Amino acid sequence: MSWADERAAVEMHLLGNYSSLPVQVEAIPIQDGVDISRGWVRLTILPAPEGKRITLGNNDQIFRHEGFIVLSIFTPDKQGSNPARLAADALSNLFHEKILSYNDSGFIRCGVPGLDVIGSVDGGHYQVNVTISYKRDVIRS
Amino acid sequence: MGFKYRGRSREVLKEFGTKEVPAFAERRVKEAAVYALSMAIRLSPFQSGMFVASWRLGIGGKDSSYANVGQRVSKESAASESLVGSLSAINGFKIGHTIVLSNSVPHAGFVEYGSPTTQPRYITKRVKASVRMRFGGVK
Repeated sequence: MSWADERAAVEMHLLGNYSSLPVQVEAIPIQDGVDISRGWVRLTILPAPEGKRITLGNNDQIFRHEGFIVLSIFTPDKQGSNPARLAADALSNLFHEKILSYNDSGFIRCGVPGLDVIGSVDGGHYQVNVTISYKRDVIRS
Repeated sequence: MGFKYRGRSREVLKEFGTKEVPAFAERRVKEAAVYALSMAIRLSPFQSGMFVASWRLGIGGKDSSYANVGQRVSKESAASESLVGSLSAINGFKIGHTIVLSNSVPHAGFVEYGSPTTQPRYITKRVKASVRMRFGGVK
C-alpha cells in the first residue's frame, strides 16, 4: 500500500460512513454554501517520518510504516463540550481497531483512538482532536 | 585446559557487566535523544525559526526555556541553537535519568494540535513513533 492508497483508504472510509457534520479532507477547503453552523470535522493524515524493514532474507521484503490519523472536531463555542464529544464518539467508533484497504493494495491497521481536548479556540469554536495510530506494510521484491 | 582462565573470565565478565554494558546503554540513549531532537526539528515548520530553535532536551523533566524572538537566517541556524540549548542534557545524561523532549514557545500548542485555520502536526507523537521504530521501547 502506497502513500496515495493510504490517503484514499482513509478518506473513503470516513466520507462513506460519516455524515453528521461536514468533513474537510486534506488540501481541499470546505465548499461555499456548506452549513458549518453545527460544526465541522477536519481530517489530517500524519505519517511518521521513517519506516522500517521488518523481515530478513532474500525473499520479498516487508517494510512497516506508522502514522496518525487526526480528526479535528470544531463545534460552536459556549455550548458545552457535549456536541464535540458526541462527534468524537461517532468518529472513534468508525476507526477503533479497524482494518482499512483500497483496491487490494494492502491493509492499514488502526489502533485505539485517543482524545485531545484543546478547548476554546479562535473564531468562536470549541476543538477536540481524535487521534488514531495506524500501521501499514509495503511489500517490495 | 580451560580452567586455567576461569578466574580471569569472571573478572572480564564483571568488568563487562559493570562498565561496558552501562557505557553502551548510555551511548545508545544519547544517540536516541539526539535522533529525537533532529526528527522534531525536521518536522517543525520554519518561519522566524523561533519554534525550531526552542526544541529542548531536559534531564528528569521538561526544560521550559525557549529561544528569543527574532528572525533566523535558516532552519539550520535555528537547529544549531536548539542543539546548543540541549547540550547540557545530552552531556549530563547517566543511566537512571530520564530525557524529556519539549518545546515551550507560547504558540507550540497551535503547531502541535492545530487550530481552525492550521492543520495539526503532532510532532511529538510522530517523533516517538520514529524513535520506537529505530531504537525500541520509549515512553
